[in-house]
Amino acid sequence: MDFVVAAPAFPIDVRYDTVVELCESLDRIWNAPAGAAWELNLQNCGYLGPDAAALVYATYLNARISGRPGTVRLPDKPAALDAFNHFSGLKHLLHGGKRPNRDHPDCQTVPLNHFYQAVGNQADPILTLVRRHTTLSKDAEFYLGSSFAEVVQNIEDHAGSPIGGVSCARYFSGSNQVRVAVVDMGDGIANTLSRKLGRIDAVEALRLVVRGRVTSQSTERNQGLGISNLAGAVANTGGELMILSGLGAAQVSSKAREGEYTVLPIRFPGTGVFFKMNLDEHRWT
Amino acid sequence: MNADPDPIPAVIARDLFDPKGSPAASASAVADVVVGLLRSHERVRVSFESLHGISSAYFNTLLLRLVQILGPQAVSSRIEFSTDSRAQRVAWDRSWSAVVGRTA
Repeated sequence: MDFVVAAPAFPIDVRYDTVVELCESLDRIWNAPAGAAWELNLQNCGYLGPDAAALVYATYLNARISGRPGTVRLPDKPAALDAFNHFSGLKHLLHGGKRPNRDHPDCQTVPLNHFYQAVGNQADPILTLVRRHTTLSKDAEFYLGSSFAEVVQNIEDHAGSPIGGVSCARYFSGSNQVRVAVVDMGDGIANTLSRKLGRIDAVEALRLVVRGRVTSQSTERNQGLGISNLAGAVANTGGELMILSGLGAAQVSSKAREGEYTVLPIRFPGTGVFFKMNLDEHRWT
Repeated sequence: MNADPDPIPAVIARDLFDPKGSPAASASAVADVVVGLLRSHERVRVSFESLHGISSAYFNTLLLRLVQILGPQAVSSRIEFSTDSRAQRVAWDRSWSAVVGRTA
């Protein structure tokens, strides 16, 4: 073992500060030299959500294919966290053993999905899970399904990610919210846009794609609408969107529809998109 | 009673949606059926009923192909598109504006 990285000893939630702090821990793995063996210790985390699951699994996959294999120590308590590690597929994918049963009545998690291309039914597991717990209006179905599809399509069209993408989602019955995380280890939004627009910094790139109608036009079908549609859908549902890409971060909500932009303390090696939506229409804006 | 000499045929996009294939290929399939029907009908209806997990690339691909083959004027005047929710309509309108609005 060349080095051990301990993840933050607090719940890693969809909030910007906790996700960025996890990324600061993962940064050492992202930048490890070829051949380095590492261990990521998550045992002090009191909570992991779909965002942490997707970040950890994408990091694990990327390190493995680039000759820096490592191990991840998952927490086994509290019981709810151990259950999440099972239902998210983290346990199965990192340590082998039983696959999660997404149809289990207690399951509120869509397990980690590793993909390279957009396919027609990619959002179905999320929609199916949510429908099992609550009634979805046609608007909510479209907002959720299309938002996920926008991110997946962007990865196929633009990211150039050696691992493709990794997604995970969770439904929260108490708040009737769904949280979705999609992570790639590709070129990042600024580098992709730079092909068309010339050199552009990460924060400005995020500002442009949230506003919309700016695209690298990797293919003819790209019209610069994807992230902008996603941001609009999340804001309309009273939810929150966070995008980490290269050195930039964007946060969009119903209170900040134009987005708030930050320079990250680390370089995110690709793009991570994390969003939550309210499924009750009376909480929409 | 006389039958309608040219009833408007309807294309249900969901019926041409390949759940395991590329959404862009499914959109192209819709465009091809529409173009075929317009050879024998003056107008065609396209319904997006129950299409949830689609990105803007789906609508963009459909519109790009139709505009390429028929031209923006015919796409505007000979095809009726129906969406099944306000959210879907907003996404559709944005793609329309980006693809057809740009070329019209």
